[in-house]
Formats: sequence, C-alpha cells, structure tokens
Amino acid sequence: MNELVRQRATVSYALLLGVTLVAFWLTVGHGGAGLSESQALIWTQIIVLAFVKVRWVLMDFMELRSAPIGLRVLYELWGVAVASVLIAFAWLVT
Amino acid sequence: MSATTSGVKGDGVRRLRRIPAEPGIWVFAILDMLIFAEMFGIYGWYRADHYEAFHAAQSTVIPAFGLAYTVILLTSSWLVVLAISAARRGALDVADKLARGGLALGVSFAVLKLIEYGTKLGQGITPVTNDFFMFFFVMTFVHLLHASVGIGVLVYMRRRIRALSPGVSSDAKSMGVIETCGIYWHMVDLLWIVLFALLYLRG
Repeated sequence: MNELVRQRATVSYALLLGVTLVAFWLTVGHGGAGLSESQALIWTQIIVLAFVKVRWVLMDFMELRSAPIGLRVLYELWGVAVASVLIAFAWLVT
Repeated sequence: MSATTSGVKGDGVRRLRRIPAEPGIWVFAILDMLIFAEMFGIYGWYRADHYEAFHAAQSTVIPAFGLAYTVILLTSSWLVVLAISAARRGALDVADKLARGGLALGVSFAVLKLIEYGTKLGQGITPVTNDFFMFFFVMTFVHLLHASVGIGVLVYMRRRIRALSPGVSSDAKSMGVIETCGIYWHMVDLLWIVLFALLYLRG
C-alpha cells in the first residue's frame, strides 16, 4: 500500500510537471483584445488543465484516492464547482 | 488515523478505506479552500467583465516567475509525499532528508515571491495600480501567508519525524500528526496551481 502510494505520487508528479508545461506553452502567442470566443476557449483550456492538476494533488498527494467516498467527493466537488464557475463567467460575457 | 468500514477493491483483496491524517485537517482545509474559491470566483467575474483591462495589465506579469513557483511547489509537495512514505516504513534518515528538501523549496518559494514583489514595487506597480494588480497582490499575499505557515508546519513535521523510533514501522498516532502536516502543505500547493492559471497564464 505504502509502495503504491509512492509510485502513484511519482507518476502524478511527472504528469503535473508535463501539464504545467503544456499550459505554459498554450498561453504563448495568444494575445489581442476583446473577449472573443477563441479567447474564452483558451481560458477554458487553461482552467481545465489547472483543475486536472488539482485533482492529481487531491488524489495522489493528499491520498484521497483511498479515502472514504464522501470525503473524496467533497473535495472533487470543490474543484468541479470552482472550475465551472470560472469557465461559465468567461463564456457568459463573450 | 481512522478507517471506515467501506472497502476498496484492489489486487484481489478488499482494503479498508481510511481517512488520511487527523480528520480535523480536512474540515480546516475545505473551509480555507472555500474562502479561496470565493476569491477565485470574484476574480473570474471581474476578469470576464473587464477583459481588455485585465489582459493588458497581465502583460506586465512575468510568466517565468509563475512557472518557477509551480515547479518549486510541485517538487516540494512530491518530496513531502516521499518523506511521509519513508517515515511510515521507518527509514527516518531518508524521511528527514526528503522533508528537508521539501522545506528548502518552500523557503525558496517565499524568497522568490518577495523578489517578485520587490521587482513590481520597483516598477511602481502596487495594489492600487489597477483592479488586476489589486487581485494579484491580495490573492498572492494571502497565499504567501499560507505558505509561510506551511514552512513552520514543515519544520514541525521534521521534528516529529526525528522523534520517531528508527527502523520500525511508525505508530498510527505519530504518523497521523506527520500526515496532517503533509495535507496542509499539499493544500498550499493545490491553491497555487489555481493562482498560477488565473494570474500568470494569459488566456
């Protein structure tokens, strides 16, 4: 169990670094003014990638993967709710 | 450490699901995260409503700082996971070294943040420059306060690791305290991941 936690955390760490670099790359070369649809789309991608990372931290660093379902779902819901609100605001104002 | 009666299927056996760390930390963490959620939401609304102004202001933020903080905190968090894993199996020297690495990175995060603040203030950019920088300074400063507490928490975690008996699997109560320190530090990391996306990535 302990070994599994360690392995999962290390895989997640590599994925977290990888996704961080992808998100960083996504924002290079995207500029301009006015909240167009494509800008809302880039924002959506940035937020989705951020909350994918948040979930890995919750599951594999904070060990919620093997926690009681209620606790795990509570924290996952936090991520889903915050991400949804952030994405919705960008599209609503478009 | 406590466990519920529900099971997890894995490797053909049913393992008990357990609440990592002291249960109280989960109450604290979710309440703290709800306060941050409110800040994130208000920022998201302002950003969408004043997109051009926020987009222009954001161009003066150096994304490389954000990337550096993220790599530092992710690595620190990972080292803390490995430290806790080593402590569980009684490899206390290894655990202490890993925790020390996590702590050093935590300190470097705080130092780098102060350098960035100094750079901004040197350019005449303050919290009253515009709405974006009001959010930038307030949210990152509240996070820096959390990180500073976290540095103290990691110092305490190292002390608790060194107090364990070497070479034996650690007792549940001591490990619960050590895991609690880890959960707090991971929360600091998690909140930063969102701040990095909101403030440093220019969508």
